Amino acid sequence: MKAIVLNGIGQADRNLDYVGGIAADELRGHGCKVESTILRDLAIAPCMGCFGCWVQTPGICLIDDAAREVTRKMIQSHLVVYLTPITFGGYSSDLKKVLDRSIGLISPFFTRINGEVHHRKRYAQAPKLLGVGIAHEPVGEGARIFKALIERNAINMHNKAHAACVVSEDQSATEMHELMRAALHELGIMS
Amino acid sequence: MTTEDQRVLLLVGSPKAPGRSVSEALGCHVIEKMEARGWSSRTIFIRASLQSDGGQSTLLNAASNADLILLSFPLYVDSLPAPVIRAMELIAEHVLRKNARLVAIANCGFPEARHNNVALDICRRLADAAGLEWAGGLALGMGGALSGKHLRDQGPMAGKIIESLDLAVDALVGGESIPDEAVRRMARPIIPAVMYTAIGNFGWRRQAKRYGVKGKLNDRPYQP
Ligand SMILES: Cc1cc2nc3c(=O)[nH]c(=O)nc-3n(C[C@H](O)[C@H](O)[C@H](O)COP(=O)(O)O)c2cc1C
Repeated sequence: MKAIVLNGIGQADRNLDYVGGIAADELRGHGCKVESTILRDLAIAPCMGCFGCWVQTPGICLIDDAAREVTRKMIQSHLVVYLTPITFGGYSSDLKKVLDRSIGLISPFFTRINGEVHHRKRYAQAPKLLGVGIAHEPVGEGARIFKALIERNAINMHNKAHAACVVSEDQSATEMHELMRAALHELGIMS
Repeated sequence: MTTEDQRVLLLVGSPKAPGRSVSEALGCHVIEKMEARGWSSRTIFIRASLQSDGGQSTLLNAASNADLILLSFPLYVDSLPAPVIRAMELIAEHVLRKNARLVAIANCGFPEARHNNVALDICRRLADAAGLEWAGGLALGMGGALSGKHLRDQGPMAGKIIESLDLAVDALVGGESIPDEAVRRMARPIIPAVMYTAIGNFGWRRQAKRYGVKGKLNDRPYQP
């Protein structure tokens, strides 16, 4: 099973880098071939909101930078992991810059899901989605918003399954491993 | 402090060029009405301002001097566009005016306004983190039916949006939060959802034809 970790830990939060290591170890322990992408090290321009990835070069963003390769790897993986410090409940800007550039992975055409309008799939198979949020306090409102955001993204991006796990800085590595393991099991990924 | 001393800062969260975004049209309407009530205003385009150190400090200084920060943005993947999150990360670290307030307007491409709820929750959390008072948020669906033109030039479709924004302005200049009635009016569909999606689907095909890729809209360039 191929897994890509989109590591959205920013420059100012480098002290959290070890959480990326814990996530990668846990994934390997579950039989995944892991590729970790440190997004802060990649020059990725922000989305311009032009929809060129839908109507000009369908499926490929017009901006030719590292985001193209990252999005290609996302759709070619079985599991995508969003690793991020929980930022006001959501994702860090480093993670978000690549997600904004990934809408070419779905179709522009509209469909209905659970009574709401969304976009159709572009690819027959979309990866499973695991959100790993690093929180200041694990049970706070930020954690609730983070889980809601993962769930909303999974609908929009047609992820086959999704789970969110929230770890906090004051937890031990063992506790973090346990939380990640539980989330992987929720996704049907067993060791 | 008199109302003449009050300053509103409009932060445009759309990456589109000035004059092109729905976010700007919505925000402009609010600041024009506030100026008519004696407020002074300033507008900053977030994506452009983050491109240089100078632009970044201009943004932060403007945020420090504002009594009300109005953030108007498009919904991107159920959340805020990356440059807006970057600006939030910077603003939260910065010293702002005592008693300054934050208000947000989110617009999205799907018909249902509720897609914006998570993004508005994120804005509320930013207010907490930055020590700003949260003055409420408005959510608009069917952004694809609108344009960057001034709202008064966008015909009858903009009617309920203008009503909502005018209610919001009344509350904000009076020191209050956005009233529920403004939230309700903003969330009302502009046209029936089936009509919106049919026009939208037609629009994607028409644009693709213009670029010579009409039969390729469902291509899978990254198919393994
Ligand atoms: C990268 C990207 C992601 C988007 N994600 C969503 C979304 O998750 N939900 C939605 O309803 N609309 C989404 N939209 C549509 C925009 O919110 C919509 O077109 C909006 O009206 C643009 O406003 P603006 O003119 O102020 O930029 C997305 C658009 C882009 C370019």
